[in-house]
Amino acid sequence: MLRALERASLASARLIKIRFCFLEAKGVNAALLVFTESGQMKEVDHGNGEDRDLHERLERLSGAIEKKRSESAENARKTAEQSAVGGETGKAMALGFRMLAELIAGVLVGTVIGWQLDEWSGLSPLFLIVFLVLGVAAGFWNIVKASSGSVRRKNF
Amino acid sequence: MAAEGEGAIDPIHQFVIAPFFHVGGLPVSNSATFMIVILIVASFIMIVGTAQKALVPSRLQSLGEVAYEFVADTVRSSAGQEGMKFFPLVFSLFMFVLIANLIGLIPYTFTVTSHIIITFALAALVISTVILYGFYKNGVHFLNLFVPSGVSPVLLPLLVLIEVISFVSRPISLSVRLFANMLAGHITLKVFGGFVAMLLASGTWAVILAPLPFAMTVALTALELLVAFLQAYVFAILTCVYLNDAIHPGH
Repeated sequence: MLRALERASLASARLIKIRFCFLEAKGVNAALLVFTESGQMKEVDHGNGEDRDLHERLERLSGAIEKKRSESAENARKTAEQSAVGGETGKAMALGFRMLAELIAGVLVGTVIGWQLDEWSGLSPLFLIVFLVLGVAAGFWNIVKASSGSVRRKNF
Repeated sequence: MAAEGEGAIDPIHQFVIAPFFHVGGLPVSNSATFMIVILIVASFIMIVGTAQKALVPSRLQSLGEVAYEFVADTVRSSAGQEGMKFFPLVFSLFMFVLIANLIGLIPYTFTVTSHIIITFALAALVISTVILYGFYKNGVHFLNLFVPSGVSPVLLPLLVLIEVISFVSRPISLSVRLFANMLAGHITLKVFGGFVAMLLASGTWAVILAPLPFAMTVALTALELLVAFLQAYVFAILTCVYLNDAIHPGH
């Protein structure tokens, strides 16, 4: 079992060296790597007690790394947004701008479609009025979708 | 953008497209020049950064890794594992927009993303990818995107029309948001910078007021830095959301 563990860790060490540039390596692999690099795997063969001890330590370490990894991913995003001056203001402004853009885009598209249909049909203000109203509705529908979608979409 | 301060403020002047240099008699505009610069910077970060593949990453390598991880997380969380097919597209868009926005903050440079034709071209690329892949993957079922479920047949034509307009407005809102943010931010910076120059040039007691707009310029630059990042992120995440519609249409 230990032999397998050692082989796996060596393999993963090689794998990490090849693919580390894209950090796909899991926390577990990194933990095993630490062990091989520090040369502690050799001492492991001596007894059962140490085997269990090693196992526990491995488990603890990989658990901690996994936890830290998910935490730091979350934190990194938060700090990136808030570390700059006025982080909250910037975020709120981004949200406001987004909603504004959605509304304007809807109205704009409705207007252009109505205008063009008027040109083609010759029923001058009819389609412009109808599609302007539809465009406003679409703009508000965009906002509703943007703000009540998933939590991720609500963030911005 | 720093104030060039000729007395009168001309905040729009910074967006004028002019020949920057000539290659064999052919003019290359400032916009094109800065797009080439963006390309070089992005390639430099990714190619040189990943060349070593060191276990302990260098600064450049960790920059590349952070960029990769950040975009990969964004794609996975909003378009799922299937969305990773489009990772190269989203990553390229994110890097282009981010570096364009950041380079634009350096005084005397040109902000590529402050022109709507550029942002609209990017948005059109996203939407045509969504439409083409949507039809390729789902065939006619892609049109289910426009048919909300659980609506009475009387209202259906109206709602389908609204949904279609809403869909058509996506590339416009995507491009207008980025362009408007960059344009507004740079104009504001220029105006406040111009105030500093005007107050200093006034030669009266008003000179003592000059630090006020200058402090504002500093604060706005920090805000613009945040906006530059945030808008690139919003562009990437909305690309993912729209691609998600192409992968899983229907409400």
